[in-house]
Amino acid sequence: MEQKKVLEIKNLHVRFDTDEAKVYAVNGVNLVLHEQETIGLVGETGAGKTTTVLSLMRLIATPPGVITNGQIHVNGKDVLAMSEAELEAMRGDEMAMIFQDPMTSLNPVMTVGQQIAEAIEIHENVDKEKALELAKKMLEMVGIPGDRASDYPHQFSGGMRQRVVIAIALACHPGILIADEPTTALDVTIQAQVLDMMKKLAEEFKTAMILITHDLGIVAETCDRVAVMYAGRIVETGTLEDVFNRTAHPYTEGLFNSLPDLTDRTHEPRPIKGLVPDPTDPYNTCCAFADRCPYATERCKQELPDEITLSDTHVVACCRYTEAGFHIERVVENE
Amino acid sequence: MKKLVAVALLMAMVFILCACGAPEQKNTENIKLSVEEGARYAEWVYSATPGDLESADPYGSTTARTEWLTNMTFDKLIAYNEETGEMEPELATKWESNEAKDEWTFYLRNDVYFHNGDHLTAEDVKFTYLHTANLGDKMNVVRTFAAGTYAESVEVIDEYTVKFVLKQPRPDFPMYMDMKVYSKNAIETLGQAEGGVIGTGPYFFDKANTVSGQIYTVSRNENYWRGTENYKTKHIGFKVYGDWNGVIAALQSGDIDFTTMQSAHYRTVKSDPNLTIDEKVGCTSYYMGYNYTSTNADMNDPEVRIAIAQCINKDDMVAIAWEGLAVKSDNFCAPTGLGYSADVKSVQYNPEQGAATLKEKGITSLTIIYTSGAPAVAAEVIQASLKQAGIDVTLRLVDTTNWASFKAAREGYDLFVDYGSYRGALLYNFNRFIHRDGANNYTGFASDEYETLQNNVSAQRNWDDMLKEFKVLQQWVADNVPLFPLAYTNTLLGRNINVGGGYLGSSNNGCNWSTIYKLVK
Amino acid sequence: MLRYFVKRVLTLVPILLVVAFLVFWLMGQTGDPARTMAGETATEEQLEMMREELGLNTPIAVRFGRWLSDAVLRGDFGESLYGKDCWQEFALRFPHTLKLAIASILLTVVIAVPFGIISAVKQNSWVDTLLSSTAMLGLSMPTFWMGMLLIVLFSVQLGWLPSGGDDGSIYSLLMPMFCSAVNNAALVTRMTRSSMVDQIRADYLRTARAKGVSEKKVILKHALKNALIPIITTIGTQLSFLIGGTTVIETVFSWPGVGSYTVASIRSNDFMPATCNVVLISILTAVILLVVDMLYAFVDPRIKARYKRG
Repeated sequence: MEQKKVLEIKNLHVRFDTDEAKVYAVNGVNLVLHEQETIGLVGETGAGKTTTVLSLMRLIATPPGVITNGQIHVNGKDVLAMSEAELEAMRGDEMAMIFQDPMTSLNPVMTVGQQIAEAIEIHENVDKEKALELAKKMLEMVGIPGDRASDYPHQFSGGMRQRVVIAIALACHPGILIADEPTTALDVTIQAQVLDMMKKLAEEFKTAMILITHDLGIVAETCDRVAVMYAGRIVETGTLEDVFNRTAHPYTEGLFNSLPDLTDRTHEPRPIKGLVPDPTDPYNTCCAFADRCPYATERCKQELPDEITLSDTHVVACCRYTEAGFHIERVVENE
Repeated sequence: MKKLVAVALLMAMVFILCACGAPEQKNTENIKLSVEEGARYAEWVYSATPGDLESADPYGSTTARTEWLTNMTFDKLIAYNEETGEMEPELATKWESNEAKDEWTFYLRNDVYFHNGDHLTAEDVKFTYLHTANLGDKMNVVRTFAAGTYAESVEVIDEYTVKFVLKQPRPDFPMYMDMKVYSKNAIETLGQAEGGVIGTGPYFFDKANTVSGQIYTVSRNENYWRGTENYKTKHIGFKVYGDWNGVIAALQSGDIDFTTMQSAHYRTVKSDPNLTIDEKVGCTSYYMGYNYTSTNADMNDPEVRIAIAQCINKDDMVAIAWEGLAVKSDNFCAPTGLGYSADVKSVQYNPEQGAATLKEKGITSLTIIYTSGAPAVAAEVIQASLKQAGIDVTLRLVDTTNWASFKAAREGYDLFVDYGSYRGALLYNFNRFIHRDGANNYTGFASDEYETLQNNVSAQRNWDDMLKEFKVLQQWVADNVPLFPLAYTNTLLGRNINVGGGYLGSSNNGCNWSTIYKLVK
Repeated sequence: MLRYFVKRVLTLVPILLVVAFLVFWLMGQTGDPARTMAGETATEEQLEMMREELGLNTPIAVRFGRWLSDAVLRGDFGESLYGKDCWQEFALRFPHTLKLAIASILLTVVIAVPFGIISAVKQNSWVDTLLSSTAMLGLSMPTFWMGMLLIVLFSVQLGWLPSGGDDGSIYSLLMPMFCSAVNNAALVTRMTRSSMVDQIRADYLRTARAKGVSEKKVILKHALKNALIPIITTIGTQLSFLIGGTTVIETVFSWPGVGSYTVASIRSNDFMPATCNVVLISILTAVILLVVDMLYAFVDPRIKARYKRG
């Protein structure tokens, strides 16, 4: 089936130039997001997930951040070529974002109603009162009584605040929603509620979503497809099925192995050996995972892995797959 | 974009300042005008004082500003002429005494009216004398009239004749009678605050043009008994400035037309083509005082006093402390003072002998106190002079607010530099600075010999004899240096070249600006 | 909110009483008014009479009590040595001080807040360096010296502006206003900059940007309002200083305000006006600081909530 692409990222490179060093945060990300689809973007802290999504909205602080290369198309429009005004029109309307920490992502001196209404005022052609009215409706949709619109963020709990943030993001029914670890800062008990609500609203508004997380459980519950990031690159993309059951990349395997298995108490979690990649190294002449990879050969340390298509939906960036018959352990176990 | 805004804002600040002021340009012409060429007299002439007027009542404060103003708004019974050293008729046309010199009669003019229309009579003179004799129980006045206690009674002989019957004979009594005369009626009906500012002078205190803290004004008395011929200016305004720097800037910018000034600003004003300076030998007498209760040096020993005096180089002091705008003094009495004797010679500069004496007396160090400004520089010169004689002098600056009490305490110092205005009656200053009971005897000097000589002056029954004895007293003081005269400072008047008239006195108090005028096109 | 306000006002009363007493007492320690009044020529006898007349021989506590009750009950703040009513003299001068204070604060805000914001937004750029060093210069320039320079340039050399005093026109206001604003502006610029820098990387600004809020609004609406509290505090403190009359400025520019009057009174040992001025100014200062505190509540709902709790 051929779905409409709402977002297409090609060969995105982002670098931070600080006084001390150049930090290579994103080193050639390719990603496609289809209409109404939810992609889970998975990876360790520092893999470049947040930088990637902020780049999509051109929200990287410049300086020090620079998008050095690549293309981003949102609904067919080139984001990197947009003027400031076009960007403002796009942000919040076509693409919106939910941030990790609800405690700091709301303006403490504005009422939550104002904060939601602001987005509506900017993008919909309505006056202040109407915007506030719509904001109240939005609040109710995220499960907060509308009359609390005149309250300030400090009067809400963390979970409630995140609902407000979600209300802000979805206020203009954007086609794309980026959720950057939306539940990480919340109590475990509330995480599921918030996530369910988000998912429900996304479906209702027909919004495609990129969900950044390092919780594979959440991915399994929420996402249609998964992209695994390592050292500023996507090393494996595929459907849930592809990535979870037909894991291809040694790093993805490492991620799964490092999870504790609740069904088997004798199972020892096996963390990935070795050090996290050096962010000041662009890794453009070798596989960034080679040093930690149990399958690495000399070749892995000398050439940049190509993206290898395993199936219609499943792509992996690992040199070893050019060798006929290469497979990783986990797949064998599962079969 | 924002860079541009930043630069624009900076520029704007400068431009606002420039543009707003642009319409008038004051300071461009320096052409001297003359009446012959069609110039006329300005209605308003402005001066300034560094501080507000305390009181427009001649007996309402003891400050120079008050005296300065009331010199214009009040007339005196009789007036002292600094230039001649004589008393001259003013409200009284003539005065005489009996043989015993204990009854003095003054004959008043009959054509004098106060600013409120009251006619001046002998009652006003009597009232003024008694009203100002003492600090009354209701704070009538804060300045007592010097001769207030001399009369036993004051008798009104007729409307224009008043007789003072004295407690003891005083041949010098008229010398005290430069008394500004109140209107009895005004004070009795309006009260001290309102009535005390009403005089007979060529100008009246103009309340309508006076704003506390900003300006005080006198305006011409059109019914002045001398006529208004000599009083060309309708209003003389005195703007209140924060300090002398402000006053001088105002003079330079043309905001004011004339002002008395300090020697520190002499060069600034001199170099301005629009301005000129008048100078006059002043009656402000600077002197060095000794601490007679000092434990460090025995000041009661005249040899010590003389030796210290011998070490001091007054020529250097005049040149450095007053930039030459002073005259070194040999006599505590100022040249414009009543009974001044030019023959008196004080201790002369003789550092070798002074040093030898001090060494012999075992004096190695001294402490001197002073206030800031010229006294500080004078003190430094004294320090340098004594250094050459091998004496270490410690300098101690005292704030003006504490000065009087500090001096009077006579602790922690050996010498001080001070100054006073030398004006008034014959023995007035000697009595207050040198006599052991004198209000301004800060030194603690007490000498029977001195008092005998001073009493001898007062005891004379004849004015000429008094002057003769006073000369003896002056010489004694010069020889025995109860205090050591340093210099008389010049009084300075800075004025616009088109300002004329006025009288620059030997002190600020003695100035009279009633005849000041300014020519304009 | 009202409870908090009332509480604050009530705590002011004892503070002001202590201030009033200290001022009253300290003024009496600095010199002898009788000496000033009676003049240099007065004898000890006359001085004693004068002291009696002025009531200086009565114990300080009695004098203070009398003065306080007159002031509070009858609004009579006493008389100067020369018989001028202290309250009237204050009322005459205060408008000048207030005018200068407000003009100067307005100029300060107009210059400093934009400069501070630009500095913060363009952090570490050449604009920032330029503005920060200008502010540094402004801070380190002695007011007295700058005032003299201005007078020499604009009054003496160019003859454009009056050299001193307040003639009621904008011309006479320009130099003192500018002069007193420079120092304050420097301080407010630095305060605004550092306060804005703290906010400019805040997460909620990213949220605002992600909504599509324009950069201008992000800075001026979102960031500035959050950065406002330290700025208001600084401006409020400065205003309270200015209300007291900046003695140096008022003296240099012969501005007929409260500050120069107070100092002149102290210098001439005329304590009643000085005491009256200082006490009245203390009250005003306390009121301004209270207003600033109340302003916080309007700027920041979290503080409002705290005030509500009392």
